[in-house]
Amino acid sequence: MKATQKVYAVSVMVAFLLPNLYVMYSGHESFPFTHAPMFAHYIDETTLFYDFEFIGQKGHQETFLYPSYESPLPSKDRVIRRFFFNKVYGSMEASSFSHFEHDTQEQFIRRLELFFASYFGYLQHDTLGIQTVRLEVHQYNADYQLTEKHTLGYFDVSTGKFQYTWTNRQ
Amino acid sequence: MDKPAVRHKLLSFFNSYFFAEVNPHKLGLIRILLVGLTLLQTASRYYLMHRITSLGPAFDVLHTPSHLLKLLAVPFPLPPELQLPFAIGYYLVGCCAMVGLFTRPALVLFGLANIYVFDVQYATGVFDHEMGLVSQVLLVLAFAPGTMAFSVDRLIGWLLHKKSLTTTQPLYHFLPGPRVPVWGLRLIMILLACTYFTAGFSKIRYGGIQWVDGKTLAHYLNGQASPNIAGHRPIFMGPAVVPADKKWKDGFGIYTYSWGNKQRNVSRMEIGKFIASNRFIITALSIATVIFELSSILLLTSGWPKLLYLVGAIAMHQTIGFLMDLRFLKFQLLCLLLIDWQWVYRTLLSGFNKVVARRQARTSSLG
Repeated sequence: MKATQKVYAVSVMVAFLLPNLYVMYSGHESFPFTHAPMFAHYIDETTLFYDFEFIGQKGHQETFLYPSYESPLPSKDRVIRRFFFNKVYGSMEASSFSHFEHDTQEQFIRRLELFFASYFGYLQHDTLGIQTVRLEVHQYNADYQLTEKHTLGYFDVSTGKFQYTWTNRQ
Repeated sequence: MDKPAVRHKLLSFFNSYFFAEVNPHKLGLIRILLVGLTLLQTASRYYLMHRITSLGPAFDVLHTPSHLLKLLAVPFPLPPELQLPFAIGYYLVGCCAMVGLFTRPALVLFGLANIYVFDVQYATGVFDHEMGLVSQVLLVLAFAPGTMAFSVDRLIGWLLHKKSLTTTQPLYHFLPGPRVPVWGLRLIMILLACTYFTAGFSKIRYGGIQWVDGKTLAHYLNGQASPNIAGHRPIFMGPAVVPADKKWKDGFGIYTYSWGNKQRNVSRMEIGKFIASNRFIITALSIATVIFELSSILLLTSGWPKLLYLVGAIAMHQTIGFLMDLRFLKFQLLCLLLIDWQWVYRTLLSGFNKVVARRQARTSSLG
């Protein structure tokens, strides 16, 4: 085999292996490169579970918008939940694939505003007249019994702003 | 041993491991069957690609492409007016890649098209881990020697050579092509080994060594992670104890989400529940899974270790498919095609001949 052919072969192999090895090391997926984190996190009887709820408000009236929200979006609940967590909410585990490095409250609020404006943009024209969307986080024990709920804030449909009300003193 | 001698030995090993020559049949078969299965499965899920089109400018801000697609600077997601041309193009290059017409350009385009389709899917929330490896394999095939085995390009080449009387080879000799350096197959094997290894390593990285105690696997098999069973099933999770500095967002500190068990068949779900309830079986299964995944370096060897690992991988995917409806058919196909069937045949034949010879020797000594 000629030297140029060997150089070509090694170059191709390195081009494929380097990004794979980097993703395996860093733990941050970027399609098609992955470190296969499926089923990796430990779950036992002490693990706590969570869910997000988006509740539309008009005065004192409330409408449950998520996990079963309306069209025009073709997404399924599980898709939006993973998207919301990976791309908007972010993991608090530093080595996680959906962790935002050096995340700040301002950046978090900005991502929430982008998300709510996009996914609840239909509310601008909706006949329900929803004025705000309240974001709650619910905590469950390993038997899926509700243990605690926290309200993070409110998205104002007309202004497109998210008012972040949660503080750790609560 | 002195340094030049060590260097010489390493170079010799590297040369023989990556540049020894092999018949190209396997690469041709991988091309035809893997591309074919990818086309079938993508067609059944995405049909005319209506699910990867843009949802609107507001959503597009959120649906960002991967680093690789950012380099290519392509519209993302797919503009609605390009949906049909893209779908036609996808199936056309796929068919060309499968039959081997303009083989290498077709494989490059088909590989990139699959990365595009499944990156759009990832941008909306779901990373297709199977297609992550398969789309890379398709691109490896585009660059590796031997991929044109059993291709229409080789058939056209034979017809042209026959016409100009520059070959007397019959078609069945010409179609596979000449022997080629093995590095393409080695690279596919290394990528497969990396995938399995990192799956096992991630379990230790995120779950710790306690992952093998069986409780995690039990959660996925006992119905708690099944979206097909009635009841609210929150998927996000975190440990019982979270450092204070990780609770600033919501007072809790959420780490990740669980992955879900897609199985709908009631009897298979019952089998899963039985396995989950048996402490011995679920722990043994957990330990075996991690050890198996971390042992993927066996794929880089030859003979019995490699064969047993490939068969073991197929068995593992069959089991996961049975219990969780996550079949990873393309991985199973790839493992099946990577088995050195000639070696299996020679080994079985040699074993059979030895048994026959021993029996004959015993018969004649008794006689």
